[in-house]
Amino acid sequence: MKMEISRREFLQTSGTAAASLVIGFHLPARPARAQFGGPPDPFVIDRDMINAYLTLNPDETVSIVSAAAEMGQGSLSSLPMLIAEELELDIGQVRIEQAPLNQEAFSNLLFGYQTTVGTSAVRWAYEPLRQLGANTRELLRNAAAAAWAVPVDETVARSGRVTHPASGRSLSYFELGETASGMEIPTDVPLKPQSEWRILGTPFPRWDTEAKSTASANYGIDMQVDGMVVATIAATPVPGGTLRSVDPEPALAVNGVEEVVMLDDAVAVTATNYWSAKKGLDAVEPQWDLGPVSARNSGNIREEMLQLLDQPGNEAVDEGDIDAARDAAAQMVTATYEAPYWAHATLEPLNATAHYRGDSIEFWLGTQAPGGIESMCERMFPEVPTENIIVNNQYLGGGFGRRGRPTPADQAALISKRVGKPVKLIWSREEDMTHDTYRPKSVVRMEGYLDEAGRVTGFKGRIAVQSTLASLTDNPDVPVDPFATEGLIDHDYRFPALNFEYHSPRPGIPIGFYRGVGFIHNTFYRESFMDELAYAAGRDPIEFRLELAGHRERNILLLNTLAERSNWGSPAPGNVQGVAFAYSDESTVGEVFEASVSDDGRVKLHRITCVCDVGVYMNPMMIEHQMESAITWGLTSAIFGEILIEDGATRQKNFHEYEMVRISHMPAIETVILPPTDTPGSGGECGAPPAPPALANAIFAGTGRRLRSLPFRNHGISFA
Amino acid sequence: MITLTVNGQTHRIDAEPDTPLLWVLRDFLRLNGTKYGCGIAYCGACTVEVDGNVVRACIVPASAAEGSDIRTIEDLDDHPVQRAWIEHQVPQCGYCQSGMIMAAKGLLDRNPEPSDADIDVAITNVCRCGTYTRIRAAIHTAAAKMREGRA
Repeated sequence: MKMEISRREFLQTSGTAAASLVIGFHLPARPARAQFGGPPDPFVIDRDMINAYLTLNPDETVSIVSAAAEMGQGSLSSLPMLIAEELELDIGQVRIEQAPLNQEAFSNLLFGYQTTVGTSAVRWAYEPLRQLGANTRELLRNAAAAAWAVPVDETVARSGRVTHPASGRSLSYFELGETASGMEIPTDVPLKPQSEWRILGTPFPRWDTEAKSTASANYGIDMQVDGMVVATIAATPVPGGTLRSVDPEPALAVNGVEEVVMLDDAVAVTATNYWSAKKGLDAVEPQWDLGPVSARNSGNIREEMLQLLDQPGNEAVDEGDIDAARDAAAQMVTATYEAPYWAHATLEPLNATAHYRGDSIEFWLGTQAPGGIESMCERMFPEVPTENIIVNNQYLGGGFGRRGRPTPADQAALISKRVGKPVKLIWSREEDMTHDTYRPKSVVRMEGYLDEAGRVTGFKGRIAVQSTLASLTDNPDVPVDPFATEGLIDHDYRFPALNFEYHSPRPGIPIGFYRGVGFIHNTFYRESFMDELAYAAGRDPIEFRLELAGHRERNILLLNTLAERSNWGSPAPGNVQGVAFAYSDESTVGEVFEASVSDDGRVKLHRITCVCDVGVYMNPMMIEHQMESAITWGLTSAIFGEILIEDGATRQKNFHEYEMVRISHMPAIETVILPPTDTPGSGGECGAPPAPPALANAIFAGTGRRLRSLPFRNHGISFA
Repeated sequence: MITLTVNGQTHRIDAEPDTPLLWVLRDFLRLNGTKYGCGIAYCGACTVEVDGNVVRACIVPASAAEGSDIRTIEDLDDHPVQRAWIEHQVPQCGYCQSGMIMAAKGLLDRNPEPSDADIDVAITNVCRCGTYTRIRAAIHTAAAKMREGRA
């Protein structure tokens, strides 16, 4: 897939009728964490390459074609809007096609247009894609002006055509493509101000809704490749274990089974269909050398973390004079909080289809990181040239940070190499749940200091949590892990003194990114604890937060809007309310949960009010979607989610042991988006962190019980 | 050999008799709209209709469905439930939505005017993206459209 294309390379068009002009550009190798909880920079495979192109079509549409980038799971759904706004198209004139790049496409390529990759999908897309549209629009206007020998400022681009109102002449973008192909593409064309936007900022339907409502969307698990076999796999139940032996005979006796394949740390069975493969796998009785992690369990992992909290850790922040704040405190509140390992439980179990051909490997799967698959191949299949690694991205049945790793693409390629056929490897739900890269367990001890007037003078704490950053590298000694403390130290509260330390234990349990990353548990800790401080100070929880966050006008607007829209302080008779407020990933969200709580601990949610400040936004409907989605994600984490480790292995095997929120749990959600600013924030994750503490604080309001550990159902709380 | 009637067509299938209906649909008949989520009838991604009943195909042996009228998401053609799904922009990742749509259709076939409480009882499928509030709204819209259609 590597292809050297200079910044502006002029090639002859092949003259096909399909497109008169093709402009190559760069889409990011993976969506940003801001939308998917995916890894940050260290995992990004940044390369000087074109992986997408824009074509002008005869039917006056424009196509954006790319296989390398994930498109359609939400993060880049605003892509057509960004292009259409500046290229002066109607939104229906932009088509998105997911297709692999091929030589034919490149033979038609005229301009190499490259953009830089940022760390946020929205930030990444916001300027460069509008700029791409603007530059292309000006190119086409220049072409029209040249064709008609008129000044360019007498031409107007709109709805896929350039017109010359003075003479009534008009040519479609497609018709102008050939003239344009001989001209230099303008750069640094000024972008429209927000006040002139026609498309951006208005609600617009997703482009993939119909496919997903009629079952015509193709997910990784739906792949069919000629000559393919289906495989399923059992990897070592304990991380770091190795496969000692299997008994292949009973598996080979199953109708449809073809081969039993032993890998270093796993056994796979291939068959003509999944059910035969599964029956075969169930019969092979693998014997494992389990290794040292088999001594770990949730109990001793927790003990170790609690002991770490008694020792000084790495300093994450030290602002103001925390000791003086402590000494002068009129009142001190201390508390220890914790959250368990969480599984992603994407509804589509992990899977990958691979065809190892000796000098090439082709993959078909839904992945958040095609670049990571290439690097894996360079490591595991050095005999295959990198340019012969082809990744065909499919729809993802849930990402949430789970589909950023090269596994199981590596397993599928190994099995394909062994059996000499294309292999569709499907993990059973049990394999998926027991071999996740979990959100790590964490424990935190916090101290808050209040003065006589009930104002916070200092916030101090220490957290123990496996390093998310270290999980991405071969070096376990990452000096600073921002994911450990995000939400505890980078919030939008101003404390006169702030001090946090962290420890990174290494129990050997695989961990990774998860929607909300560190913010999701750390916001539960901080916002529950702020509630404790507010009650200790005898102050209203929203008024208390206004004081901490009031240094920004937008925060005041947000909290006041939240109070107003939620009828804060005046819930329906019998109901109680809880609030949480959180900054994460350049966005700020406040949520009020209104619930009723019975004497025996049954909680019924009645109403959720969500006010968000996502800066400038492209599609308000997508923001609403993402808030609803993230709140539900946060609630499953808060109410039910818990992975337990026993003898190094995951106890929970399937959904009956890992319950999730269902429709009966969910009340109406009202989302209010603050008026736009000039800078894009993010929308995909920021709604999740406030949900657990808003619910915990409502439960406290109703019961006087402070729930300091997740999930809530371990506290005798049940949900109607 | 198993003989199944799916979406009005009869197929002779060379699958083990204990193969769940889900895997016969997917791996033998290439009807991939019906999804695998859990294999234990918990999540509902595999929801289909068997003789008019809403069924989770991952735990039904295909042999038990011989002689039945099996209907999958592929049998729906611009159904009011699908139109409501598009109108309310329900899907996000979309993986659960075939099952959701089949469960919603099954509910509306039995109960043309379901209350929120009826929906809570009938729709127990899991959506990990959390599209539930839109699903509820879409079911009410589809119900109204279907009642109009009958009136």
